[in-house]
Amino acid sequence: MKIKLPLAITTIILVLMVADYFVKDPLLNPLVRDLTKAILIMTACAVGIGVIRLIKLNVDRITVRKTNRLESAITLIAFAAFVIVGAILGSGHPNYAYMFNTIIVPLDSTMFALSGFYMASAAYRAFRARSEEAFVLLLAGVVVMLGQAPVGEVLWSATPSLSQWIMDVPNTAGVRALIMGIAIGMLSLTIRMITGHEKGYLASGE
Amino acid sequence: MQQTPCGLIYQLFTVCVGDDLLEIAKGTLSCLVLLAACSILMIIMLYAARKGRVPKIRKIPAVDAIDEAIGRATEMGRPVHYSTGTGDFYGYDAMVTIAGISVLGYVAKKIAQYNTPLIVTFMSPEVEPVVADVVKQAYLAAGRPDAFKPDMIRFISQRQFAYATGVIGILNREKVAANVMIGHFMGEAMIIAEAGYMAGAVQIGGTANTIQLPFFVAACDYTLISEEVYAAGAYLSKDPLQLGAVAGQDWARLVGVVLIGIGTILATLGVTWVADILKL
Repeated sequence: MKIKLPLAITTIILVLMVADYFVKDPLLNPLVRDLTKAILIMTACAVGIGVIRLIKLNVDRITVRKTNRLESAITLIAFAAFVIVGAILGSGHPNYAYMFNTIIVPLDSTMFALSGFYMASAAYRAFRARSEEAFVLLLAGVVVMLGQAPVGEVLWSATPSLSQWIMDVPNTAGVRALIMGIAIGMLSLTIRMITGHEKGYLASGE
Repeated sequence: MQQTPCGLIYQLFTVCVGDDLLEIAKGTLSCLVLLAACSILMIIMLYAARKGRVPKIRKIPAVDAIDEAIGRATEMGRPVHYSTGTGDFYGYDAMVTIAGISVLGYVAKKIAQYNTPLIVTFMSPEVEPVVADVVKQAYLAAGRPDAFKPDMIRFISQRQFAYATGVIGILNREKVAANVMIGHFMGEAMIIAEAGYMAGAVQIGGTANTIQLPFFVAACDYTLISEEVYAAGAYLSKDPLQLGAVAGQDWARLVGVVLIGIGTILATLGVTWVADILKL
């Protein structure tokens, strides 16, 4: 029962969701919409659980394990500051917006900007021509990069169109093959779930 | 409707299901037919496996490397980090998140057997109860329930780059020896994978996000590509029935390839009825 009930619920919901896409039915469509709302409510509850765990982990680090205490203290202080200001003044208040815009936004931008440097170092490793395939990758990468930069056109006028061709033809063909594989893979996983053979996502799947 | 292949299919559905449903199904009909055909193919293979005809599926090096990565972490006495990414249980990223959690069950059980530290992170808080339960049960199944610690399961933040920052901190501070990332990943994929490389971890990545996949290929030692992500759970379970469905997946792909081939040849010759049918 511990396995069969969640599997039965999964199967029923899956079939309803699939049917909702193909069939326009006055009874089915609102039912699926309501189910989607129920997911949002569950998500809100899950946020609460996640936050409790986060607080517990950091409090334990400060009081019991005594490791990374400074980082944990900063996390808890920042968390408390946002909760207190948000709860008292509301998330639309200018002070809350000020905190958000001066702390969260710059940190987010910094992290995103870092990805450029990470890309460069990863590309350096990936683009080393150690085999024929890696050489083709290197060549295609160089042409596409030159095609995106003004210097590419200066060096050879056909560079931008060659770069665009690589993106439009071989790249698109490869991506479409991946998407086809992903769609079929998703379907296979769904079939395994509906027939009750895929139980890895259930804790008692053993 | 005229007597074209498309018209004949519509007429067939008119007879089978009536005018009302025909009108409703318009625009999604070809998709429904293909979905049904592929599903039937997979179910046939699944039940053929039940009758003893277990198919052989090709090796997936990235999945085989999971044991190697865990072994390395065990030898070094350092933790394994597992991330299910930024996905949740609704929307287009739900299936890949479930696929990631399926692999997590296997990883957690192996880790429990070897008594290696495990850290699991994810971005969406709704994933947390499921992940915690899967890991806990894996430790139970390995006969080491005492080794399970709730702080192995770490919700860091619901914000993408705050999550990435947290993971970078874990990879560096806790000197992670193996970093497995299977699930839905977005812009943080490159940041986490490269931080893992710099921390000296063996890295296995897998995602269905085609934009992020090249970053994993560039930064990780092994990558699960395309349908391999979804097949990984079945591959690791070694359950003949699940392997049957995976083999059905290959047959469905063959059908797709044949359709593309025929469609391309016919479209080149100026015959468009395959394309017309697929637009139904």
